[in-house]
Amino acid sequence: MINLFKTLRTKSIPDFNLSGHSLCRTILIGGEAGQGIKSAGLIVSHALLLAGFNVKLYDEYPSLIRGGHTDVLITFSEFPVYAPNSEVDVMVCIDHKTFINRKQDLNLNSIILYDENEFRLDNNETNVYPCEIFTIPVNKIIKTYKLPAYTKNTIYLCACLMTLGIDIDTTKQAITKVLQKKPDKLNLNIQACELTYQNLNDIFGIRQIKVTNQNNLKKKRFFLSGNECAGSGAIEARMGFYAAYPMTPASSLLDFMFKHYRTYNFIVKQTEDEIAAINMAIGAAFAGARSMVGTSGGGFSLMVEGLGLAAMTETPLVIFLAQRPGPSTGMPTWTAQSDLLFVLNASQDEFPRVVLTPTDHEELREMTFLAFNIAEKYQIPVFILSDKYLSESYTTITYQDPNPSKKIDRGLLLNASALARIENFKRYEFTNSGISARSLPGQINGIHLANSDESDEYGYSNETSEIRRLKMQKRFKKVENVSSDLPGLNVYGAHKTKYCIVTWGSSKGSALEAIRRLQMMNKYIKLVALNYVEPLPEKDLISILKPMKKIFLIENNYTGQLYNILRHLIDTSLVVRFNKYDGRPIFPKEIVDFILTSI
Amino acid sequence: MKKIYQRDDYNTNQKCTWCPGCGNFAIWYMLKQALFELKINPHNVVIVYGVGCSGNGANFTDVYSFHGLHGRALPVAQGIKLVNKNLKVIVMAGDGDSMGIGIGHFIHACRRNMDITLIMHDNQIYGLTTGQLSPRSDLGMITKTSPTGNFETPVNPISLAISSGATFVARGFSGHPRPLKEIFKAALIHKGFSFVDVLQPCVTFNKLNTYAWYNARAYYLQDDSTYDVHDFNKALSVSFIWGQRIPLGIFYKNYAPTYEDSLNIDINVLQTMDSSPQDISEILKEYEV
Repeated sequence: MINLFKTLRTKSIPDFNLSGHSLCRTILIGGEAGQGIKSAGLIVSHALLLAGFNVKLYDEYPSLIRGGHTDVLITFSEFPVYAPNSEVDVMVCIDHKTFINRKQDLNLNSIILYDENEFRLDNNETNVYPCEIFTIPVNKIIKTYKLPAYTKNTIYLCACLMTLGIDIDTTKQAITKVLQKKPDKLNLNIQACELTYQNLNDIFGIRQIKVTNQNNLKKKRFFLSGNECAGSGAIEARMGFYAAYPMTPASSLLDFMFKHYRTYNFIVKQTEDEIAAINMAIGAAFAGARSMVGTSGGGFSLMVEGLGLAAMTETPLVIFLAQRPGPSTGMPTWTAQSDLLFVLNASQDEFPRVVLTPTDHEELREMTFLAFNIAEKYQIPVFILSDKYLSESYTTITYQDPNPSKKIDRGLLLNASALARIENFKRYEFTNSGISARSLPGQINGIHLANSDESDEYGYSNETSEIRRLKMQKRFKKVENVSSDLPGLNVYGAHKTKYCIVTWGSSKGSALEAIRRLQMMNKYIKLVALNYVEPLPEKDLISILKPMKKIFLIENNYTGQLYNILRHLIDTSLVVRFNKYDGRPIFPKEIVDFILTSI
Repeated sequence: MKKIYQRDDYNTNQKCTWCPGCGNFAIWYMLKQALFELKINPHNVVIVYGVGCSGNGANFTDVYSFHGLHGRALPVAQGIKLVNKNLKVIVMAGDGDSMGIGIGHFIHACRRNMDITLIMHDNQIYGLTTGQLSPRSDLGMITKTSPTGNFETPVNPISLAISSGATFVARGFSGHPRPLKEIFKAALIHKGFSFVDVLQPCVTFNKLNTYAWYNARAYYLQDDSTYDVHDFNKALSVSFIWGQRIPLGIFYKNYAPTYEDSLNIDINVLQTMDSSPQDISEILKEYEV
């Protein structure tokens, strides 16, 4: 074997077995966009999953295809991983920017892997961050064994997995899993893996990472993204129609739908714009299909007039909105929780809507399923508010077979025999519940007009003050009991405490990790994570928040949009706010630091 | 269950609100007549309306109807057709709807070639908003919003439809109701996207394009027995004739696979009322560790 490692400056390698207070470890892989950084991250994740860990993956990339810089953050633990952590234990620097951008996230025990032949870390840099630095002879291995350039990432990620003590078989299995759809590239990547393990064995030795918690390996676990969860939930709900115009971070949901529409027999349409998407979905819902659109804030801006149309014609509609920083084009590939007030208030005039804010991947799937039931039962528009961070991050979930009581509720839909008994069908009949039965085009005796103009019980245009009042009351009456179909409040953490974090949507994960860490410091905090904001669970919120001495309101936006909704319910002098608005998700460490300084 | 429909079953009990003499009347009567003669039953018809005087017609015809947003009738109609191919889907929209605010949807509807019929109520003026310039207004036309005369080139809906891929393109005139009915019938029978531009005088706000003005200019392409409706280039060149003479009739007709047939997904909205969730274990398998 050729000695390739004379440049390696190794002292000792830290032990990465997880113990005591270090429940999670984090790997950062960074490089130039378009170099396959995400695939490398997925391979590392799968190796860790196969070794028995739970994994969360979050990637940050620019809105371009080649060049620029991409980071993948992978946090793993034997225990549930609630959020990707910002503190980096192993940093794989495929380019110099990785180190420059993220050096503040290193600690004394971190290790850095890079190749001296790619770029040089000068002494000024390494002295400030005196963690272990290994140069991996990636370019030398490539040259010596005449491997193609695309196997570089494999060498980096194998080195990374070796430092963690992941064996070669597990790594090969992970490479095969992720690259199985690129069989032409698989063989040489496997070869690069073998050569890396052979050549670096002397340095890293034979290490074996220990997993003490064998339960993970016994359970059926899945590793998937937020949008894949949402898509699975929609298919589980027997969605019949999905329309969208590609827009990050909702585009991958459109891709998911195109992958599955033939097997699960539904229509998916890529439209000329978002206006067409929502109007087509309304047409499809009017004709009887469970319908959904997917977009981000900019696309939803175009859909707003259609939102009012769905409300006015009482056409059930599910709107999936994955938020990203705006206004305007904003930061297409980054994250924010800044469209809450927008979806709550979008459209002229007033009408009811439901806004679901799933707080993690499993809720994303469950609440997408639920959204269709609510939309059809109450004949209203229902929002699912995700964001780039939730939609595009990957997590480990355990999926149980659905509860047999889980049902599709299509609401008041008349069948042929019921319609045959009806004379003079009133589609918008005034009823005690405000909800009137639907008929579908093609059904005899169910003919009606769905009208964007204010209209009477038949749908005929009517502008009398009496009809207007009755129709306004009807629309609002429909949702008086909608809370009964929504889940209870998400409350976590200590029972007996006077401190409570309040958050909504995707920020829950970091808050959970933060209260776990604070608990280890004997600081006990409660957490309320809202998974729906409209209707607002006022009573439950008040009963939990009333006894509190301090309320930490944590949101990924500038103005505190949830705070502005809650301020009339709570004593605002007790509230301290944490707002992050730089396009990055809120990390657990930030919450811990914030709470320690404000407690 | 079967239901026998009479001619009057296509009417609602609502009072018509158009101006006396409005060109919309002939379109309304002749469409109902065409549907009745073709034995297309009201419960199998969906008419989607835009917003404008033509859209107010939503109240008068007793078929499944959807009165949508200004400019957005075509997407609603396509959504309906995609989930239930068995319906006869018709769009009624004005020239403002189709050539102004909704022109993007028009082009895409043409190239998609779904089996939908678009009937454009073309009065070359904004009537319901009381007389503003339309993208179809002739050059020089004085309106409330073109006080010195229109100096924007009018949109040519016929050439636009042909070049965008519509497989049936025709023009009728409200002043000639019988030929109009025949054009409607041909459009309704045609499988694919059919577009009928109906010249329809607005007797209240358009004092230029009157019945007399059209009568003096109109002639039928089909009067020339050598006119071949399948000749794309000929149709395109004829589509630019406008002024001293205005051609009516079927400009272009062709057969191409419809979008819905190419997609080949039938979701049977009227049959599937399944209440059990879809089993997604096969989907999840791909993500299994």
